[in-house]
Amino acid sequence: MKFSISWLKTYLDYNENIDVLVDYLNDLGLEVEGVDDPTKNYSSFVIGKISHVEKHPNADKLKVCKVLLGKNTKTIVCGANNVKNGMGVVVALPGTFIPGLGKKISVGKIRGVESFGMMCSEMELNLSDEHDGIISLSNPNIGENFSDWLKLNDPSKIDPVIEIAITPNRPDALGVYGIARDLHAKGLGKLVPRQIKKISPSIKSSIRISLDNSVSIKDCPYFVGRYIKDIKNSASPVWLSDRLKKIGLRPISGLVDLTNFLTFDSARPLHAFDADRLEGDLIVRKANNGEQLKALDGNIYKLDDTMTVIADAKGVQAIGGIIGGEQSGCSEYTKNIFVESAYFDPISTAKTGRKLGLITDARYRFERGIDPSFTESGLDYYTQLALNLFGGEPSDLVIAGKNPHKPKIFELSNDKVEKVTGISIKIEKQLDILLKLGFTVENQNEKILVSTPSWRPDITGEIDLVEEIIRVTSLNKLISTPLPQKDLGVSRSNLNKLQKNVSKTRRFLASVGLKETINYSFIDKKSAEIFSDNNNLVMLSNSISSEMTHLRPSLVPGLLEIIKKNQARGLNDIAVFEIGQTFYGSEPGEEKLELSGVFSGYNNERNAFQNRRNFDIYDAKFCVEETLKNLGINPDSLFLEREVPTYFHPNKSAYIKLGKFKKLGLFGELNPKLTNWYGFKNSPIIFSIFLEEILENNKVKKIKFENSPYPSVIRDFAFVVDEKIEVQNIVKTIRKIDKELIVGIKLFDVFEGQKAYEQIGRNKKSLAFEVILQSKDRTLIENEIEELSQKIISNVTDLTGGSLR
Amino acid sequence: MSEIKKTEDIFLKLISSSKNLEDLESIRIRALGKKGEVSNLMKSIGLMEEKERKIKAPLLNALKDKIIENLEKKKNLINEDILNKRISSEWSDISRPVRPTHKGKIHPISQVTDEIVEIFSDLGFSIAEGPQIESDWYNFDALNIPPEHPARQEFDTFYVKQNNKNGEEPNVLRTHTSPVQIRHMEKTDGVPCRIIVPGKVFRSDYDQTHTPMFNQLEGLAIDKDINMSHLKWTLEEFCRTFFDIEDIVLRFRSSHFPFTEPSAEVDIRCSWEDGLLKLGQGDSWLEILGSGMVHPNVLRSCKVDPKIYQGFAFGMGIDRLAMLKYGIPDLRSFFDSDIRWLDHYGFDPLNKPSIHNGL
Repeated sequence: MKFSISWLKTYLDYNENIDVLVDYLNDLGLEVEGVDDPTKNYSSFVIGKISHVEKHPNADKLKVCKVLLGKNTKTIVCGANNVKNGMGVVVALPGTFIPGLGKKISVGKIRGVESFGMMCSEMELNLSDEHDGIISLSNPNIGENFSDWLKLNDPSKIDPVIEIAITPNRPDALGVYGIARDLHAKGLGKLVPRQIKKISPSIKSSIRISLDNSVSIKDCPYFVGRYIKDIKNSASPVWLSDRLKKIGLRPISGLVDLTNFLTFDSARPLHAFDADRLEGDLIVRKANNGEQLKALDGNIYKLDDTMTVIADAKGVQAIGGIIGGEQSGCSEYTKNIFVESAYFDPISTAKTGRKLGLITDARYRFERGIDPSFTESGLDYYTQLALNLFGGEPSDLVIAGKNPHKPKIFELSNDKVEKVTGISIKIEKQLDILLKLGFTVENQNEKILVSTPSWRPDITGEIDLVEEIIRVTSLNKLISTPLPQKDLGVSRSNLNKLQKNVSKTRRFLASVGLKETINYSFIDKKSAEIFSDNNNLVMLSNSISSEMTHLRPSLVPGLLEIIKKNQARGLNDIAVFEIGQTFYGSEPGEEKLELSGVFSGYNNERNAFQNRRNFDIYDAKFCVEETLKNLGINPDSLFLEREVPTYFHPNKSAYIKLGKFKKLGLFGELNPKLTNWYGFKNSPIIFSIFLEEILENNKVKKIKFENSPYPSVIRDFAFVVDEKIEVQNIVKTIRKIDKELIVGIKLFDVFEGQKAYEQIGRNKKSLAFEVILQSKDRTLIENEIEELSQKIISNVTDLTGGSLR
Repeated sequence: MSEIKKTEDIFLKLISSSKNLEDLESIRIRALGKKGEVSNLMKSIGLMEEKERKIKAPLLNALKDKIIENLEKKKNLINEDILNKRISSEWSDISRPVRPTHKGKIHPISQVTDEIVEIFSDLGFSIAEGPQIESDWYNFDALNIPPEHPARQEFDTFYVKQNNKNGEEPNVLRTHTSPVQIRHMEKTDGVPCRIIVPGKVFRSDYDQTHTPMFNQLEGLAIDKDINMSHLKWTLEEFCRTFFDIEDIVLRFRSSHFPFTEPSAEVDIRCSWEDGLLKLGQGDSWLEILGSGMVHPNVLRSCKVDPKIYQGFAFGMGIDRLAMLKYGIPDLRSFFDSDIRWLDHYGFDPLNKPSIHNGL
């Protein structure tokens, strides 16, 4: 909502400067979004008088002028054709910024003659498009700044414009008068009430109006109109067109401009029909399905039976509360008009506007709620201005329905404001504020009853009265007060188990080299299909791009996208993870908190230590296993399962399960088919951890430290086995041999691949284990050790069909 | 000269003139080996008459000891010499770069969320969470935003496509964290409460300063005696600690949110110097959050009696707080996952925010 200071001053008599006004508006909740104050632009320009003009010695079209500027005189070269001796001019001295040129001027030689400034045209000062000659001032006050001159002689030129953001609860502030009322209540100046007189009709309206049954009492309860005969639709007077131009509206014709004026002046949209283009009487009804209107904006709108329209015998002439029709609009030939002023229901107006995709100044106000009690007065105000400006004979008011306003009455308790805000305000002061805002106050049996003015549909309870009082008083009066303390002891941890697990895991993964990322929760359809493990894809009905149509069923596609994006930037070594929500249904709660990570490229940058290698699935397995261990899960209770989702490589991936059934994590290589589809050179490594499944208590527990005082013995065993034998089976077998004496088993070498084929046989590999033997109560003797070693060899070879290497 | 003395002279000379451990070892064998000269002399003791033995045995033993002692001394000398030579020959280029490690980082959003949680935990707030897909009721109606209200249009809501809704409003991606207020308060032990709700929210807006997903922090404190002056204190305490600026100044400006009444937008005092923002002092104001006293209708939606309970709520952008505190220029970069950006703006995982260490 924009308004100019001069407009505001027609309703508010005040002297404070614009900065004070801005502070008041902000404090009232009428947030100032912009101030356009031309005064500041013109105060650096000086008024001068040309005291001498002569022809430029080297140029026919230029003149060399002496310009009086108070105490001194400057030589200025000028090319304007209207330059003459004795003329009052606006001078920009060197260093002054010229808004119309967008630059500062400096001393310069023009064809050999030094010029100490510039005499400006209106265009150069952004005052108008006029650039034919420089400004000629009728009564120059030499040496004065131009801004002061304008204030005195042409105030509209430097009339500041303020733009404020109006919150949806304040339809009353969508007119200048409402803003003035607010400022007045806050103590800025005096409110100048609108002077609206009752119109005495000189004719009877030839057009009658009615409300159709199809328009319930709610959609349009009140409709008034007036016929004005023999009116002249000429151009608006300067004051009116200036008002509109200042706030960015284009003047059209007097009668139309006046309706726009009322919209911004008093938040009262009305519509003026060319009465001669209407046929028969007007009726407010629902549109018929398929009915159309070519509106004033030139577009044709298709209507349906939920929309309230104003129609004549021919058809729809306006969409209620939104826009008028082109055919019955006012033109330069208009002689007789019918002006309507009505109350259209906010909700149905909003619905219609949204369906039509049409936002107008009228709709904006109707859907927020206009003042129903200003329906007649608003029309009177229009009539009064129209008759003054454009003549004509007014009819009586024709009225259908009745004013729907019923004041709402709320009790205000003495202590409510202080209870809610902590600010103590005398009750007299509180009531004064309410009265100034237009509320009425009544004392009844010690109770304060406040009734709402017709222009405040937003007030629906006592708390809203508190808001009004505190808003006008200023929230700057709030005095910080410490929150009441609940208990004085050491504060308890406020995180639940999942929150703790998440926090711990995030920092753990970052500490082992992964970078945390946050990716959009939306992905494209194809990715959603690939990475979903059920068919419940969750789709948006109004996505903003084809890359963001679905909610992610998995974090993995987002992470793979990171590899793609970074590879495109030449960044190939990637280890990242994300902790976030995934979605398996479209109802609230059908989402899970998960963790996934991806690896691609080398595990390290190039360096002189040769410690660089490609990431592999064991990096991913490490992340899952270590995380689970950190969260209190006993590694001995974990199992692997090779049945993985199809986006994984079927032979290089596994679930990690707690016991037989509970899947806690997943790791492996991306299915090479997808690797190709994405266009990756190498298959990324992936892992996921299902955080919500981890219910173990991750509190740090310590068991008693036990250390045998007897020496341990280490024996190494290398077995040649079939290449598909899993290490875990061998380890299990060895452990089972003697759970007491075998205290450690480590795989320390794997020899596999082509070289192994050549040396130890086709499809064979060699696995070397270090087995640590130790007793708690004695030193092991050679015989025992030998016996255990033999058992290890025989049990492993029995299990695997392999042999000791 | 006796034979013993002669032997001694020979060996001591040999030992002192030996150059390395190998020489020394062969001297030892020649003297003290099984068939060594000294060993042979020692063997002869057994064959001696007692008288002779009494005289010679101590001399021979002394000879043996002396040779052993000299061998040992010489061995130490040679070893030391070897060590000295080795040390003086050894050299490392201490200027070489060390082994690089693949560094991990915490995302700024997580770090800042941890900082926020730390501060509010200290003030007695716990963390509540809620679903990101929400029903129309929780996202709007329960928060005093009726259907068709113009305020609804300001949210740029994402709707979830649903087939079998029988005319019901479709679910939405939550446009704010406020639905969690409702979900928390409607629980049987929902009030009194002090909670914060950090989380993702969604609005269909994508340009230089908007992303369709961003992170919000909701705060809610409900009790019988909590008023707006407590809200001011809470936010001041938060900003002071979070931005680590002692003389922070907040300005409360009246505003309107459907779920609070009275409502206030809160600005923080700041200055702009050469395009650089400085919080704390100055003559400009920067809007940082919205807040207010919870609307009685919201309490009623949760079956909480507004005659007994009241309190405040606030909401702010976590991303924005991170940008302000750490000078991160572009919101969109938070979700772009550029490895270099993550390295630059990410945080060391060991740098876990805590009040007593400073945030």
